[in-house]
Order: sequence, then structure tokens, then C-alpha cells
Amino acid sequence: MDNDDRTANDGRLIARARSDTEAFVELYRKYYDAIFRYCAHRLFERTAAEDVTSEVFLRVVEKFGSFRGDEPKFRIWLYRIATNAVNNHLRKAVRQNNLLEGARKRMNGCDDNRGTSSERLALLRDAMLALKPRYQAIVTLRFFENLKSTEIAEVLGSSPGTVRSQMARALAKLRQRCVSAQKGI
Amino acid sequence: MTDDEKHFRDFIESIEFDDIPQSGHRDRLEDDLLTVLAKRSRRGSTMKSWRTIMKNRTIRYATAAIVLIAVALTIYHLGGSPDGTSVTFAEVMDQIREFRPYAYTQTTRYHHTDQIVVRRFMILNRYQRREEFPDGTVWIFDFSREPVGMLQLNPDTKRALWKTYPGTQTTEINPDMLAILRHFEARPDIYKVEDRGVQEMDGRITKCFHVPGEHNVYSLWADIETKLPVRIELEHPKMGQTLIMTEFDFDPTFDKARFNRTPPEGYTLSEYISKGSGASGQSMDFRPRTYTYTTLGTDGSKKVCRMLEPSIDRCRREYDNGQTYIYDYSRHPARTLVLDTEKKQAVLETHPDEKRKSINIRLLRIIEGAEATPESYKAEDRGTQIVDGHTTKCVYIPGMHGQYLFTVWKDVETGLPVRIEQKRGRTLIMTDFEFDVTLDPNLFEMKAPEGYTLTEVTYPAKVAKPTEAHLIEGLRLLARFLDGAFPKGLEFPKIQQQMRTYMQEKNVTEISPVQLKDLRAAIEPFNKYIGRLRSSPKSFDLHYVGDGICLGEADTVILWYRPEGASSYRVIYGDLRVEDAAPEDLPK
Repeated sequence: MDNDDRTANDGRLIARARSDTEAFVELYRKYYDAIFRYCAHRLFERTAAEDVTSEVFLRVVEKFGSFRGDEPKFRIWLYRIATNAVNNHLRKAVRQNNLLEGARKRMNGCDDNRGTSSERLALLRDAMLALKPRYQAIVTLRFFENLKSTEIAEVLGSSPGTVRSQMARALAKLRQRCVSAQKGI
Repeated sequence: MTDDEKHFRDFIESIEFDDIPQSGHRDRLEDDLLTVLAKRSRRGSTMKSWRTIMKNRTIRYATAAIVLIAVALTIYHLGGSPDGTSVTFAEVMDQIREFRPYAYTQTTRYHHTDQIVVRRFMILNRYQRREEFPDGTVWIFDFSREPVGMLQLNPDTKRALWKTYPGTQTTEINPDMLAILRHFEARPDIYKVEDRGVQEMDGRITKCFHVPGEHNVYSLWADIETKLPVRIELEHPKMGQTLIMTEFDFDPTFDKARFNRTPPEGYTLSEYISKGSGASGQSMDFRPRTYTYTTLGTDGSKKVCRMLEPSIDRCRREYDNGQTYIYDYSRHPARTLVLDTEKKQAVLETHPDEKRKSINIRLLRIIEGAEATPESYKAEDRGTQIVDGHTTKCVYIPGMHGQYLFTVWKDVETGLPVRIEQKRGRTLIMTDFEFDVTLDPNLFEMKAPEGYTLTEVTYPAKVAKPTEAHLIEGLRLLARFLDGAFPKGLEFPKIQQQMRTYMQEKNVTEISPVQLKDLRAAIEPFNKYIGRLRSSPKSFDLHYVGDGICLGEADTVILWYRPEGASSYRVIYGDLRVEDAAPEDLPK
């Protein structure tokens, strides 16, 4: 199937999903994994990621009637909803504390047979969650979801140039925090 | 990629994330979404805020518990289950406010033939449906992807026909019969829902509602428990038919294979590509022809015309009263040359607004269509008959809804028509067919023959959206034509009759081409505006009382109506001034 065919089919899937429940479910199955992974990479916690993923798709059901566009636009729209949902989740300080605390407990309690991977995960999590939500979103969308700067800009309602400069700043901060943490500062 | 980016990527690649989606959550969420979608389709858009609240799991469970307790208490205090009297039309509408898959049996009775057609409709979505007929024939419409088309299955002959419609894009074909009911809610000013109480219908306890429409009457029986329609009847005298929808099944589990555009195994498939309806599509296969067109009126009158048609967009019509019309719609602007062979007068009419279009009847297309899909046209073979010296096959083509009512006699050797008749009040007879004839181009020249006096008139552009001003201008012109008297009625045939009678009484033998042009130019938007007002009697509440009143009678009202969405009326007086009036101030 060439790109034109795929785009045409995708467009039809979106169109069908407006009135056909099965088409909507097809769309959901197609994007569930990506959205769950994005939430997991942002939240570092499976239960929270699943809750937010649920929230994202329930919001999609609610707002789908007002969505206008093809499937590439739908993907961007989905990430935008997910970004907002994750940010809302993180914004609540209590939840964020719980998140960090819960993750730390699990980390301390594990037998650490994964060695450096667990340590690195803890390091990354602490460093990432200390960033501004916007920076977290940029880094996750770029390095985990492999979105282009132009696509990230669409998700965040920004320009690709801004995204690139903010990504550079975010990476610099991450590097700084990771180095400090490794040195025990 | 910068060094920072490269290092970060290397760093995350060395980490094992807990990011593998689990099917348990995916399936549970899918179930939740389906539940929400089902509720949403039942409850409609008014439930948006409710759903937002209900997204919180704790609130959802708490609310569910409260609702259950409340229902239990209500039933306890009322002393039993509901008897159905409290079911409202709004509650029924809640169930069908949004599209949901459903099936039903439709029985159509055509009043003029008393014919009854029964079929089972299965509506999968707005783009796909399946229709099953009692004889086993199945029609599957699939407009969800291009090429859009309809698959006909004949289980007796194991033949399948895939009929496509080139140029037609993916489109909604199931605007949903229930959409009509939804319209009742949108226009309470027109539709007054009458509660006819609890009735037993098709073995179920139902609540009956009666809705008199603009031109028809709806009756709806809804199950008192599910609030879903059990039976809908539509009496449509104007269309000459009654529709009865029964055996409803909402949200059925359809086997999607039954909506496939490919036939089941064992069927022989043939394809039929429906010809385009545009002028270019038809001109490609148009065969130059001549034939005689005879019209027999119900009053015993007879009019004969010789038709010469070199292409779909040009023709010459020679009437037996000495008038000849030559039409050229092959280029812009379209032109018509009217020749009066007795008086040697010619009028060349130019229509700058008319673009190239087909003007000749699509004879062969209808016949070909009936041959390819006899089920669609309800074509009946009437056997072999000898007509005008030809051995012919006679076929009656009423059309699915009696829209054609043609009888065609086709030459068995050439397959071309020898005679066509259509009876619909008056009788039309087409005979003396000649196909692929070479027609002299001079016969279609748009210039007056030698010895003729020529008058040229150019028609103004057609009015796309007529206004009240066109109504007033039309009334003024008609009154002036009728010696100051307003027409007896606003129906155009009545106006035409009155004008003819007036001309006979006053011995007016002809109207000049310019006068005719002015009249036509004013009457066309006038008719359109009147048509709009008459299309919805309850909404516009049009009243005309101009019969017997003359232009200039300033104290006499000739007409009043209520503009769309307004509460006050527009009242037109004999001097054609317009005033607004409250309903209580209208003439009795």
C-alpha cells in the first residue's frame, strides 16, 4: 500500500469512526499503545500511566465530534490531549509527591538485580520530573515517541524553532542534574 | 543531532522501562469506551457535562449507587412498576437522538397501484446498509469507500451485480429514517406531538404518539420499558404512499461479512458502471435521432411534435401548430430561436444565465438501466409484439416508485425503441424513431430564415434567492397585465388560466416577445418565493385574499404571511405597501 492509499484509508477510518463504533474501536486499538507508552515515559509509574491513558481516551470520545482533520492530525491531537492530561496529573503537588515517593519505595524495595538500569531509571525519573512539564513533554515526544520538531510544535502549539531551543535547554538541565546526582551533590 | 541529544539517546537506551502495554487494561478501557459510546448515542449531546463528572471512577460508582437506591425507593413509594402513562416523547427521543446501528422491516404501500413492497433494512452505519427482500434478493449499499456502489445478490440464479457510480464520492447514504423524528424536536412550532396514550401494539405495551406534519402524518409506538420505537407509520398522501416500520432491533450484533461488497462464494459476478449524469457523460454515447412526440391530453386534445436531436444539448422541435423551437444549450450563453412559420416571425432568446446542459430526454439511458438492473426499475417483460411492422419485445418500466411508467417496444433485432408510451394523466407517445441519422446543420442554425422578421431578447440572470420585493413586483406586474385586478389565486396554473381567459375575453391575440420576457423574468422569482411560502404552510401561514381586489386599493389587505422565525406577520395591501402586524391584528 503506498502512502496515498494509506492516507486515504486513514482519512476514511476517521470519517467512519464518527458514526461507526467499530471504526472508533479500531482507531483506539491503533493508538492505545503509543499513548500508554507516552504516559508511562512521562509518569514513570504504570498505574498512573494507565489511569491517564483512560482519561485521554474518554476525553477523545467526548471531544471527537469537534475534531476536524485526517489521521496525522488526529495523532497530533491525541498527543496534545495526552500532554495536557499528564501535565494536569503532575500539576497536583500531592499526586506528584505520591508519584515520586511511590517510585522511590518501589526502587528501594526491589532486589536490584537489574543493577545500573534501575539506578539510571531512578536518576532519569528524578531529573525529568524536576523539569518544567513543557520540557518533559518535549523530551519525551522527541526521544521516546520519535516525533519531529514540527510535530512537537503542533502538539504544544508552538514553533519548531522554539521547540528546538527548549529541547536544548531541557537536555542541558537533564545533563546537569544527572551529573550532580551521580556526584552525590 | 547534537552531542547532548546523542548522549541522552544512548542513556535512555540503556534503561529498561516499565512501558509494555498490558492487554488487561487495554481491554477494560475498550469496554469502558464502548459503554460510554453507547450511553452517549442514547443520551445525546445534552449529557456532555454529565459525562465529564462521571469520568471520575469514585463519583461514577457513588452516583450509580444513588440512582439505584432512588429508583428502588420511587418504585416502592409508587406501589409498583410504571404503567407507561408517564413515558414522554422526549424520553423516546433520548433513545434515538444520535445514530446507532439498527434494523427494521419496512412495508411500503403505494396508493395509486395498491402495490406493497416489504423489505428488511439493516443499517450498519451511515455509509453502509443491507436490504433484504422477501424473494431473497439482497441489496448491499457501500458508500464507505470509493468506488461507491451497490451489490445485488440473486440467490436463485446465484448471480451478483456490482453497480458502481463513478464520480460519486464517499457519502452518507443513511441519513437515518429516525432523523425525521428528531426533526420534530427541532421545530416544535410546526410539529405538535400528540400523546395518544398507552396502547398494545405488536404484542407489547406501548405509548403512542401522533405527529401531524406538513404534508403527512406520523404515528409512533414506543415500548414503555425501553422507550424505543416498536412501530412507526408514515402516511404521505402527497407522495401517494404509506410507510410502516416494524420489527426494530437496536444495536444488533451485525455480522460485518453481510455488508461485504464482494459476493459470497458460488455467485457469478458481473459489473455495471452507472453512466454519469452530467452532459458530457451523456453526450459521449448520445446517438443522433429523430422521432415523433405526441401528447394526448385528458381533455381529448392532441399535440404532435417532430423532434430532431443531433446531440444531447441541441434540438429542433417542430410543432403541428406551425411553431418551431430550436434550442442550443451546447455553448454559453444558451439560446432559443422561436419560429412562427405562418407569420414569418422569429424571436431569438438569449439566456446568459443558462450554461451548457442536456436538454433531451434520456431515453436510452433509462432503457439500458432497466435492462441492466430490472429489479431497480421493476421492469416487466410483456412478451413479443408486432408494432409498426417491427417484431418487438415489450417491456413495462414503472420504476421503483412509479416515477417512469414507461412501456417500451424494442426491435428484437436492433434493441432500439420502436415505440415508447408513458401514461400519467396525459399520454405521451414516441414513435417513428430513427437513430444515427445525419441531420442538416442548417436546421439548427440560430438565425432567422430569409423573409422572417427577427426580434432579439436577452433574459436577465435568474434570481437565486428571491425576496419579498420579488413577490410584490410579481403581484404588480400580474395586476397590470390583468387590467388592474389581482390574480384569483397564487397557484401558477390558476394564474396561467386566468391570463389565458383574460386574453380571450379582451381579444388579445399575442404578447410581444419583450412583454413575454418581462413577464417571465418577474414571474420566475415570484413563483419561487410563493413556492417557498407554500412549502411550509404551518410555518409561514400564508393567506391570500386578493381575488376581486384591484391594484391601488390602499385600505384592503390582499396577503399576509409570517416570515421564518418571526412572531409578527407581514401584511401586503392593495397598493402593495407592506406593514408588520401582530397575530391578533390580522384580518379575520
